[in-house]
Amino acid sequence: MNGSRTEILGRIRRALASPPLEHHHGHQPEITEIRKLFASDFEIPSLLERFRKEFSRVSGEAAVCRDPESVIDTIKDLIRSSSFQTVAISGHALCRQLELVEKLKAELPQVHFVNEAMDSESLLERHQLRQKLSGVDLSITGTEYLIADIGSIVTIANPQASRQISLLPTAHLVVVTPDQIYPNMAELFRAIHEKHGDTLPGSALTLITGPSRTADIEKVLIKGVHGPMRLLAIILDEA
Amino acid sequence: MKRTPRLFKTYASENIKDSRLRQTYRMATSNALEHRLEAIQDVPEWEDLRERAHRIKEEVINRLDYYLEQLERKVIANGGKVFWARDGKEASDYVLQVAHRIRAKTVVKSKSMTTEEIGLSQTLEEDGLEAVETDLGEYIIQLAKEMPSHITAPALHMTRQQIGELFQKKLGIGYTEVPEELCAFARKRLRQKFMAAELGISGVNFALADTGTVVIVENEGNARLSTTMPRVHIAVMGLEKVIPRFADLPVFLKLLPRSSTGQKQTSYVSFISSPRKPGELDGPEEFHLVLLDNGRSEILADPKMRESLFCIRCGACLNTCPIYQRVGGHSYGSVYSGPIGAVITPLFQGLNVAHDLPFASSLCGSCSNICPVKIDIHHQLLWLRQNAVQSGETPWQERLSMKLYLLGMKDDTLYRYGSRLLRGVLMLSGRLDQPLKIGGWSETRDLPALAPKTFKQLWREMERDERLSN
Repeated sequence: MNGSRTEILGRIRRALASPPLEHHHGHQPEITEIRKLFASDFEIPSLLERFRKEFSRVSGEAAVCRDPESVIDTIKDLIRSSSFQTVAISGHALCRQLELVEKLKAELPQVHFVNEAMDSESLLERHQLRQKLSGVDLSITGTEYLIADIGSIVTIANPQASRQISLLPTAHLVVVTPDQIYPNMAELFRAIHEKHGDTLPGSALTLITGPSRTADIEKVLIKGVHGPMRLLAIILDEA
Repeated sequence: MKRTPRLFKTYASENIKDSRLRQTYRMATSNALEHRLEAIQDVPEWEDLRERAHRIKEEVINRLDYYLEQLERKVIANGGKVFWARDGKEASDYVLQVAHRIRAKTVVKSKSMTTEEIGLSQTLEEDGLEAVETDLGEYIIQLAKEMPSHITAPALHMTRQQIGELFQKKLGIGYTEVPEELCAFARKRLRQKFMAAELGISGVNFALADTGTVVIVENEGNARLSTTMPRVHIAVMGLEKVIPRFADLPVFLKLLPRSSTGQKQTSYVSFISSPRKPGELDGPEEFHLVLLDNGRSEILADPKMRESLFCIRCGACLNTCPIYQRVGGHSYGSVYSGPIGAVITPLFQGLNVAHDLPFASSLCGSCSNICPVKIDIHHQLLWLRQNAVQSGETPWQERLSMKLYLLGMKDDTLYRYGSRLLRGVLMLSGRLDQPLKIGGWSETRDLPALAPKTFKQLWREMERDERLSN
């Protein structure tokens, strides 16, 4: 159904028949390449350090682990110290590689685990999954990319991980590796475009920068208005 | 409450007397400006970014037909549907038609100025659907049945006490004015709606023509929920929201959050390119994009006003405007307030309705200076004033005095005798050394008293003195 397509396009074409106004901002500066407009952020000694700094600046909580065992230990401590009762784990490659479900289950028998990849096979299960995820205290996922200069996580909807797992729970922990970090948005978008051309990957790609927040009541900053109240990251740096 | 720009003067003179309201606006706007300033301090390329953004918008607006067709092709290729709507009614009818087909009962909406512009929520509710605004600020004003008072902070005019009383009255909870408690309650209530809703409606901050993607910028997560949980997602965008390329977007994503809230980046930016893809675990089964004209093609036809279509709705010009700060968002009687609202409201609704808005400006140019896409807002206001005068929208007294003034300024004899007459009258009434009074105009401004001597008298005296000293 096209609605009033022809009429609207006709109106636009007639409107554009009158020439645009001369540029009236006095001077006409040279157009700078978009990458260069992000250049001041290249002066970062270490991408990892910059990411950590920016991530905590937006109220994210980040830890660096040197080996897979300490990732498990860090998560265990987090679940215990925050008294999380239910934990959901996505099917991201890194989560499976680290065998998060198996290892955490063995070590924390009192905690209830939701394994997203297992629990989402049929439609009915999917429907229950959203209810389950909504009541979950913590979700643990991987992610596709990180952006250093703004401390963002970039996730892409895919058959291993849903869109809602990083959104419905009260806290979201993302496990990442340093090779996923890009200096800034301009560089990351170039890389995505080079890899995928004009069809972006997944139905949805999401930039997550800190926990969900609002300032709609008298400009008072409140976290967790709709999405997670806490956003955490464990960076597995084996170098 | 339904408001109209016709009553700008009435609303403004009421609001300006409300010192509580003025303080609320002063606090909120200065807070936003401070954060913005902090956020742009570490961006040495700020001016280049603004220029670049302006050029990208210029490119797209001057070839709007081309980019819209490209966007349409790509959205369809990605598995989405595109609907072109001439006006708000066509857009709303389409949304209703989809809602009926999928037998929707509950509709969740994320914050969108475009759907506010066409009153979509009201239309859906009149049709018997439960249409829930899910942005906390929008939820509050929906309960209060009010218009947004700011482009990015719709409930900016309300105090926590007012919101507490509103929740008590409308939602039947015990009174609290603790923002965290109010917020936690809204989270619980709205989470149920997200779980139940069959249809999600969102606005669009940017639509990427080359990839067929809609981009939504937010902090709360309600836009993510509205576009993820329901079976069907409809995104409604004004025609001007398209930008050419995915690769252009970083420029706008660097400008927008810094300009509106002073954040480097908002909590969430969603890039939605299609309905759920095979194998994906969640996301809507249908994705619809509504392209809304509603007067935009007419704005396009006026090369002088075309630039107003560059607006990315950041709200910075509202925060910096000395008029907005004092009269508040509701005075404008339109969902779009502040300087940019004073430009686009007359263009959307007609100068005969919104003739006072272009005059609600000191023409100080602060709006043009702060605009992240370099819209020449104060000159647009000036041009609209010109149009208002030419189409006879100004009061007859003003037109008459301007005619007399013009007559006097063009004719030496008339000027001389006119000013002598004025002096004579003032002298006889003994008010020669007092400020002049012009009904209405001089109530809030001073027109200085006439100088004791005219320029010609001074000139003659100077010549005489010079002759004497020679």
